[in-house]
Amino acid sequence: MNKALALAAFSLREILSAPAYRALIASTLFIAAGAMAISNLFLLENIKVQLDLLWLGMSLLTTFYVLVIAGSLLAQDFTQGIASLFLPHMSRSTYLRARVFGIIAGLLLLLAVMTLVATATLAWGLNYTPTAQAHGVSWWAPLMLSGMTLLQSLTILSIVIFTCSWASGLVEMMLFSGVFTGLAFLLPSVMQTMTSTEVMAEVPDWTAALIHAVDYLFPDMTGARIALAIAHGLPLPPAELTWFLIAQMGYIMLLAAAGFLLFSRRDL
Amino acid sequence: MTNICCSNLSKSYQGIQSLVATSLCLKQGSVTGLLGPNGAGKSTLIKCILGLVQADSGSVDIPAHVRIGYLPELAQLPPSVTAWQTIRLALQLSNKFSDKTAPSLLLDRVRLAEKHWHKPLRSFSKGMRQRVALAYAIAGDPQWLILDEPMSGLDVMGRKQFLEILLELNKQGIGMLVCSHIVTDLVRLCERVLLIHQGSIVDEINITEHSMSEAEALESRLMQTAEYSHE
Repeated sequence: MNKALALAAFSLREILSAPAYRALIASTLFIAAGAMAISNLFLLENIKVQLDLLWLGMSLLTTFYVLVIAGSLLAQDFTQGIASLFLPHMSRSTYLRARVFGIIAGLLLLLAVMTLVATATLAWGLNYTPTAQAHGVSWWAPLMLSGMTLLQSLTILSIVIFTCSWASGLVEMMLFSGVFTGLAFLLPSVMQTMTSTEVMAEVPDWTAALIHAVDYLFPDMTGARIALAIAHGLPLPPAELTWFLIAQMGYIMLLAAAGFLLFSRRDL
Repeated sequence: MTNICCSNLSKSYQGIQSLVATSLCLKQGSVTGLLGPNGAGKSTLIKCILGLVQADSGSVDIPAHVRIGYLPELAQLPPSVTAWQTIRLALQLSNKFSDKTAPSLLLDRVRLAEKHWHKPLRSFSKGMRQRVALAYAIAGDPQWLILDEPMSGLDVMGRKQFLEILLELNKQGIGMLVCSHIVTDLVRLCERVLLIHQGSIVDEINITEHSMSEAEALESRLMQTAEYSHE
C-alpha cells in the first residue's frame, strides 16, 4: 500500500474513532429536527426557511469539524511530537498531504451524512407544503448547499494548515485559526456597510484605501446571497457565484501553499 | 557500515544557544548514552540527527540505506486509535506489513498484554504507551534506535522490563543512542556515555562493568560538570 494512502486511511480512522466526530454525526439529526421545528413557526414558505436552517447547520458542523477536530489533530501532531512518528518514513510534504487527505475524507463523509439528512428533511417537508409555497425549491438544493459548504470548509482548512505551520503551541494554533475564521464570517457584512458610497465619501483617502484593502484581502465566508438563492429556488447570481468560487479557490491555494512551505522549514 | 556521524552541529532558539559545534560518531551496533541536566541540548541533538530540527550549521552523515527507529520523549501517540492499528500503520509505512499477525508479533515483543491490543491509546498508562511507541519504532526493522528519555516516568517494574527489552534488541544487533538523565539506566544499558552540558559534549565515559559504583562515579562527574558551570 502506498505510504501516503496508508497514512491518509489511518488519519480517517483516527477521526472516525474520535468521540467528537461521532457527536457531530449524531447532531445532524438534531439539526434536522431543529430545522423542522423552527420552520413550522413560520406561516409561509416554511420549506425555504427549513433549507436556510439546514444550510446554517451544515456550516456550523463543518466549521466545528475543521476548527476543532482537524485543527487539534494537526496541532497535536506538530506540538506533541506525533508527527515525528511518521516523518522517518516520508517527506514532510507527503506527510502533510496524507494528513490533509484524511481530514478531507472525514469532511466529505460528514457532508454526505448531512446531505442525506437534509434531503430526507426536505422530502418530509414537501409532503406538508402547498405546491405554491414550494415554488422553485429543487431536490438538488441540499447537494448544492453541501457543495458550497465544502468550499467554505476547505477555505477554513487552509487557514488551519497555514496557522498550524508557524504557530508554536496548541492554544495559539486553535486561537489564531478560530479568530481568523470568525473574522472571515463577520467582516464581510461590516465591510459591506463600510464600503458604501456614503461612508467612503466621509472618510479620508488613506482610510478608504485601508478599508478596501481589508475588504479585498480577507476571505468572505458567508456567501449568503448564493445560499439564499439556492434555498429559495431563485436564479443564482452569476457574477457573485463566479467571484465566490474564484476567491475561495484562490484563498485555498494561497494559504495551503504558504502552510506547506512554512511546515517544510519548521522545527518539530 | 551503518555508522551515524555528525559534526559541528549548532542550533540556537531565539538567541539562546542550544547546541554548540557538537560532533559525535556512533558505531554500528553500539549503545551510546547522552547524559545531561534538563536543557543541556540532548533532545535538540537527537532532533538534529533525525532532521526534525534544522541545525543552524554543521552536518549529519547517515548512509541512505540506514533504517532508524525513533522513540520520542513522552511517547505521544494518536489517542483515538488502538495499539494494533498504530503498529499496523508503522508496518505499512515500512513496507513490512505481511499479514494480520505481524502487528501482534511486535506488540508481543514489547510485552504488551493482548487484552490491550484493541483498546484506544487514550486509555493507556504511560508505561503501556511507551511499549507501543517502542513497537512502532522497531516495526521498520531498524539498524538504529534513537530513544529520547525512554524510561522517564515509568515505575520501577516498568523500567526494569523496558530495560530488558532494550538489552534484548541490542543483542539482536540494533545500535542505540539513548538520551536520559537517569544515570543508573544509562549505566546498565550503554557502552559509553557522553556528558552534554550547555549544548556541548564535555566528557566521554566508557562503561565497562555496568555496576552501581560506575553509576555513582558517573553521577558525581555529572554533578561536578554542573557545579563547575555555575561557578
